[in-house]
Amino acid sequence: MPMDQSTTSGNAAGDLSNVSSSPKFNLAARGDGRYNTAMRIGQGLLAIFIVGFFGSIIIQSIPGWQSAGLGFFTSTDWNSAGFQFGALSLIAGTLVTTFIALLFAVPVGISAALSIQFLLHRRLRVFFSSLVEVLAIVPSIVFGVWGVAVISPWTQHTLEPFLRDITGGAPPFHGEIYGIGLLLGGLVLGVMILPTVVAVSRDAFAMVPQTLIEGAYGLGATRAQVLFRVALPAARRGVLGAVTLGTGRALGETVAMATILGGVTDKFPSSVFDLGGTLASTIARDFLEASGSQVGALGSLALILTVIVFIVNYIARKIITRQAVTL
Amino acid sequence: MTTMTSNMSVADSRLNLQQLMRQKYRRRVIVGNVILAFVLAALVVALIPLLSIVISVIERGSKVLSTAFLTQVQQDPFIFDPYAIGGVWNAIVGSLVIDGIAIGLAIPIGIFSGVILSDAKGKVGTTIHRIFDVMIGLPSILFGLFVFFVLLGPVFHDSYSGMAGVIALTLMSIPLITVATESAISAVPSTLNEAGLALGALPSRVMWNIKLPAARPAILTGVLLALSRAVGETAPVLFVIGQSREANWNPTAEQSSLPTLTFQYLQGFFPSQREAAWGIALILMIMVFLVNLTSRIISARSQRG
Repeated sequence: MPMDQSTTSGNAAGDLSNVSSSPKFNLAARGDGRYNTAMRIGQGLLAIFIVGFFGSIIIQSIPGWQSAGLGFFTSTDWNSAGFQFGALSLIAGTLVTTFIALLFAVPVGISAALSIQFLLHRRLRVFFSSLVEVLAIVPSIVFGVWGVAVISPWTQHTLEPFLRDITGGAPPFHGEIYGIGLLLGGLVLGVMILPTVVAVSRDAFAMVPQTLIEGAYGLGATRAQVLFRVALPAARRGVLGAVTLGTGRALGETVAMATILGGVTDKFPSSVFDLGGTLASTIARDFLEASGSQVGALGSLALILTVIVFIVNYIARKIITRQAVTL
Repeated sequence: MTTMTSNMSVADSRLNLQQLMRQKYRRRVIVGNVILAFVLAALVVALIPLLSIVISVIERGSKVLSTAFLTQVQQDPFIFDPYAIGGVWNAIVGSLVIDGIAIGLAIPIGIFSGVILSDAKGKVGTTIHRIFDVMIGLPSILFGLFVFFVLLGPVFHDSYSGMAGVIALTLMSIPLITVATESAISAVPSTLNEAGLALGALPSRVMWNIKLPAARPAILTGVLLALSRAVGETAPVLFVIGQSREANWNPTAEQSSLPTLTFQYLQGFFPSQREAAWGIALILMIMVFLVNLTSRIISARSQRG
């Protein structure tokens, strides 16, 4: 393997660092200097890519902060044509739709994953798990098309009147019913992230050691107990990962929300029937016609969105590692 | 006598205990079955909307799909001719050009980055690793904004260009392929790595001749996943490729793409535009399905081999 023995001395390769006292291994490590240098440079390039990406998002948001100031977080009026930049309604819209989506997708998704993995016949399991994996990559714009044309009549005539009647019109189930709006947006988001939640958590369930499950059956546990007291706790890392992935996707979903929420961004949503907008959907709707300080304000929205999604994903990673220790 | 009665009471209590346990067991089974019924019901609840999407896209999309729809370029309907929708050939060409170049760029960069990440140790390495993990979950619109803010002015002279969309999609795909590559490499059994090193191979040789080939199927799956995401993405290219109405194989010109055209049509005024959106949705589903099928065939073959 004398590929680059003659090159300059490099650092000891990571894999061999603990045995580098041996002269032979030192020789091998020195011979791989070019590889190590390339890896170092590569690391540097990746770091530059990351810093450049996030740096540009931060820099582009500065004009927005300058023009709107603190009003960005205290005002609920977002009207970029009228140069009103208050992001509170958009943040609320983002959180409300994501919350509704999780309310639907987490229990349904985890249960569906459990039943695919543990309750179905082997052939059905293979069929359903491939079906779900295919559905996970359906483009989000297709969900937008479907939500507007197929589901909005149902929410308008069935679901939303039902919710209003059963609660007697108490908040947050009050006000005018349009069909489209935050509730529909949340439901469509829930359906959108459902395949991700099912596919990833099913993967996690599939990796639960067979011995654990057989041990539980051997001790006389019922099927339900095996599912919820053995499989679910054992796979909680993967399930949490699945939910996080779904949350991130729901928070950042753009084009489907831009078509479904109605783009009403100048008042704080008080009912789930209200029209609204999210951070991402507002960027998509307003950006093409934006100019001057509008562009800056949309840059600020992008920064808020980045920070929220970044924090969510980062916290989830922390939880996951902490659980890995206690597992 | 006394011993006999005590014996009987022992037997009695044993019987009671057995009965009690049997009752408890029965209750446990019943509760368990009720829970299982709910779990299975959740599967049905999950499948209804998902199948509704597939069925309605096939049903409504196939009504729109025709040779003319596939081969003609887009037209704008107007009041006196509200059905003059033309076709989507311009968007098909745009999608093929943009997605093809983007994935072609992202594959080498992403795999190389994955190799770097799998090699990276120490604080810098783990930090880069963690941020890449987080970047996968970032909203795709941010990559479009990045290209718009940073490159559209200096590189593309403030004019729309397919290449700007290519760069946005490439940037979006890189973290996906990188992390897929990294986890595929770290999933290669360490015995293989150690055997290679013990035979005197350099780490670079072990990476190139042992780890990467062993990880190839998983890397390919990651690449195809990135491709199917890139095909369907609207937000990254929305602001930067423009809205070309002509079919244009030149990637540097103003372009159109299937998802962005769908987005336009959804906001369009004419019902014929909303119908056409279903047709494009069907085309997108077919494309994504074909990519997925390919990745399934590849991974099935690698498992057999």
